[in-house]
Amino acid sequence: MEIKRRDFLKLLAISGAASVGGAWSARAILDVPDEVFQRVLNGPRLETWKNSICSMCPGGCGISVRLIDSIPVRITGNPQYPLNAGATCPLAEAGIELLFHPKRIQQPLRRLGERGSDKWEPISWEEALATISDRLNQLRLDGHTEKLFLVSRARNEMITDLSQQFMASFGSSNFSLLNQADILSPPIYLTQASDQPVAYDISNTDFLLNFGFDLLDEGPNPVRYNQLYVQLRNRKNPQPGRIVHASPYMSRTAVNSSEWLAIKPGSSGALALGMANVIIRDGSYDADFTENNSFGFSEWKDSSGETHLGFKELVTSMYSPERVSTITGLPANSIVAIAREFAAAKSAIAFPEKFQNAGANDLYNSFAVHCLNALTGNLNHEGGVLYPKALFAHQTGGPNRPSNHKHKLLEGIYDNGLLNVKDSEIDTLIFHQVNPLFNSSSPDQLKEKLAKIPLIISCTTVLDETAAFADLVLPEPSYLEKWEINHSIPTVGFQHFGVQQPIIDPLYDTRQFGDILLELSKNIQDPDSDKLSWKSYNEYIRDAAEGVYNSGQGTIISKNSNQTWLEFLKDRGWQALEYSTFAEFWNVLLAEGGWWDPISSKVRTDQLFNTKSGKFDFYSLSLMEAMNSYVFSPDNPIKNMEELLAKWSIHSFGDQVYLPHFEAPRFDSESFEYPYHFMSYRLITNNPDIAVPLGLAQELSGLNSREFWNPWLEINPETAKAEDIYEDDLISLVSSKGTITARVRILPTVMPGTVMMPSGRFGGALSANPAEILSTEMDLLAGSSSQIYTRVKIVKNPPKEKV
Amino acid sequence: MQESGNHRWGMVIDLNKCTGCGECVAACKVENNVAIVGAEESEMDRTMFWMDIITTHEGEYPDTEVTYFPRPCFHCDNPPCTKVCPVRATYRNDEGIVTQIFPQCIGCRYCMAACPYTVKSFNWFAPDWPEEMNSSLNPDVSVRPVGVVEKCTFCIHRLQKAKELARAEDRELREGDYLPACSESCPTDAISFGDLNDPHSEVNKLAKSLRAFRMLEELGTEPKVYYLSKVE
Repeated sequence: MEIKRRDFLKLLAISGAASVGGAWSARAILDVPDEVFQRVLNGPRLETWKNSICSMCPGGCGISVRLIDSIPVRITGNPQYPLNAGATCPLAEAGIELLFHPKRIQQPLRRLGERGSDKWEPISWEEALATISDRLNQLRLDGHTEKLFLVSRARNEMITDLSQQFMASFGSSNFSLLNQADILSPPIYLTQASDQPVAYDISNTDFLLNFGFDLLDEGPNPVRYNQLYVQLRNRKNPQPGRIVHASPYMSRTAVNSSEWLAIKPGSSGALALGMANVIIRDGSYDADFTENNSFGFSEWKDSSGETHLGFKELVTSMYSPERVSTITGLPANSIVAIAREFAAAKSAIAFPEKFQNAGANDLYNSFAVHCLNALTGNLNHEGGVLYPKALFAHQTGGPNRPSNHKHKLLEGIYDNGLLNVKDSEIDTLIFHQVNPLFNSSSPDQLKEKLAKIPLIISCTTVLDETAAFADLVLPEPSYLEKWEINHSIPTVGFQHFGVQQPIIDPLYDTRQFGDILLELSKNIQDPDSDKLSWKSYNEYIRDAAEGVYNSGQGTIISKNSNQTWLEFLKDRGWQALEYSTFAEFWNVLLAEGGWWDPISSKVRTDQLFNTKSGKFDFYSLSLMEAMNSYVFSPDNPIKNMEELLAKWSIHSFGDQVYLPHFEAPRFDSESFEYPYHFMSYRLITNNPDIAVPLGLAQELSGLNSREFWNPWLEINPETAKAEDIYEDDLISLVSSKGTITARVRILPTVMPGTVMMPSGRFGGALSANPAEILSTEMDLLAGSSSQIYTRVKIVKNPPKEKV
Repeated sequence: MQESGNHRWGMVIDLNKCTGCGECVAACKVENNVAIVGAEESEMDRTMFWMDIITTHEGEYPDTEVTYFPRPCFHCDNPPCTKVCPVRATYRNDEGIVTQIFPQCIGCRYCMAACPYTVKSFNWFAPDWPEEMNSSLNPDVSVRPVGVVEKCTFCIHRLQKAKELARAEDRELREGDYLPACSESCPTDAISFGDLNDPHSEVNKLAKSLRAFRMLEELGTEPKVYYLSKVE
């Protein structure tokens, strides 16, 4: 409520009079509103709280922002929000620093001089939008609408849906997402032909086997996974769950697991297959599932009568614990023990490695890991893998993410996707909140590519490397100044969404990307095209929320809405809260911060799979179909499968290509010249997507290494001894691509023969970006770039100018 | 709850619940306007933390054990730092909190040398925030000037507020009314805080647990921050 000065004085008089009978009894006698009470208590500083959604990473945590006289001073977790239950991560606390950052763009800018020369002139929004509209209208007149490209960030936000609708209405299919958030979905697509990410029921599981995804520092929602890990380990009833982490590096996630299995880089798939071997030979797999709900588990005959290899035959003949032991570096008896433990658990989860972690063989690794869940009957099973329904499907008429599986599996739409586009096929390129010139592993090639594109527009909050290379820069408000709906964070087992709302009026002359798109849509001169009819982006997200309101499902989050209570109400046909109008619903929604539906209706296992067989594919017919259609497509130069496999560096052949199997990781150079594997990892406190080094985050990034503002290199004591290196020495890493220099930390958490480095943005004198030495290589099948493909050598005493 | 003045505020940190995420450190820095010293000063080991995390590594690859110890000021009942202060700028108050009076500090840094846990930081320069951020500092905590020593206060400003609110509502302080920022914001509830004198408080019970220990207990400093060891 607004308090006028006169009301305030009046109130002071009242409380003054009341204070005769006791200093603070005013509240008891009169119905003094809370805000006023606060003001009297604190003097002129009025404290208020507003709920919103954090945007410092894709996690989508609910936040409560503390404002003093309408200025935000602290960001804490929204205690009611079901994803993060009142907590935030350290990075979220730096959000205010980003809001007030001196490097924020304050008005639209047009480039003066050469691209990348950092000379700009401020222009008005009208002029900026007219420039773009003219260009788009010209493209439309020429009949080349597909020459418009839009690259956006992968977030679970409604802006993705609007962007897709905009591109479709304009007539271009060239919309892609960078830094794919649904990194977990490719194995689901292979085995189940589904776009919808699965959920993992971690709070109810007995055994979580993580194949190297550092969930506590990155991924779907780090805060949630920090909480889930601790709750599982400290669970009283039933007994605590076991967490085993298999990875080459002892990350913070591995430290917080019950046991860590040190495996060689890129070998997670082999471990999964070795375990499957033990489980099948023991006969401890779920025979009911493999018989009735799966395809390709055993040998099968196609329509022409030809026999094909099954998963069982492949695994039992090729992946004995002894062979897997040589691939992974784990003793064979450990593989047998972990497999037996996994199969014996009442419920178990095999969590795949993060894409981009493996040695250009990600897809087969995660394929093998996901098959373990199926083999042990943990699909659609409490404490296993769950299948939540998509939210907002009514709004967009389908799955809520752009379905670029055609690209994803076969062309690589990730950071190198643009490189594959011919110069003549692209005219106007819009970047929305992405910075590939910093994050891509091939920035130089990308720069060359960008130099040939006629018009580049960047819509961003701070002037980053990519925006610096654009012709037009459109400033977007910070997430604390804008409207958004954040929903359906992957791996979470219930439907939910949160509303991001301006907690402070925009500081500068900025506009939301959604409003820009709607404005452009209005200016496009084509009577035939479907105009986007929303007046503002705010109206667009209200519309989405209204769809949920009309469905009558779920409830706005509140202090009293725990799962048991809601289930109790639902059983009796009641709802937790009733709203007479949508406007009322919307107001409560803004005040509380979000909505959820914790009650997931049970799905029958035989209805889960969209595959041709209607079953879970151990033998991926989806992959076979995709590869065949690629080979037989008319505009593809490769005309037979052997050639295609060779081009994609797949060493297996025949049926094995479509079954989970182990492909040895590839490296960019020979070990005699470059003896060490180089890998980078993410810190919870340093997100490379944030374009400026934030002081708070910089000083927190070094909590463990005690190296602040600069990155560091981690090596094993054995490596240090062999190379005669001491703690804090300055060394250079040389790869076939480049050189970086940093100080050394000698730690027993690093595998001998590997060098680890945190990725992210650092602001000190030695701020190196791992991308400077990472070679460009991809899992060619999945189109994701690989992070452990690079080999390096160590050079001591780097030349002085580097220091 | 005990009469005012009979409180003995203390903290219990469960290492089995701490994941080392660093949120307590971030919350502390923002809540208490702890200066961001910048890259150059950090290089000289002048980064300021009231709450810090000490990471220990034991064993050899792959049999490695890593432990994260969140480290606030231990608010010792027998604090070595207060005894060396020539101007009583730091003292143990009657509720057991070792407080700092910033305007009284002459910057001799004896207390920094005396503290066996190295919890104190010195302001080598006046703190410097971007101009835009000036009004977004926490108004409840004063910004320290150049030349004084600072450290964790158990967020004593929150105790003042909690007491005022309790008085306004005409009641005693209740458990949970007063929590430092680190304890309040820990995502995994690893940091418990409360009155060690209150026989019913959570910290009182946890501090008597078989897993409880204190850092460098043999020095006789009587820290009021307990750790609960990890469960294997």
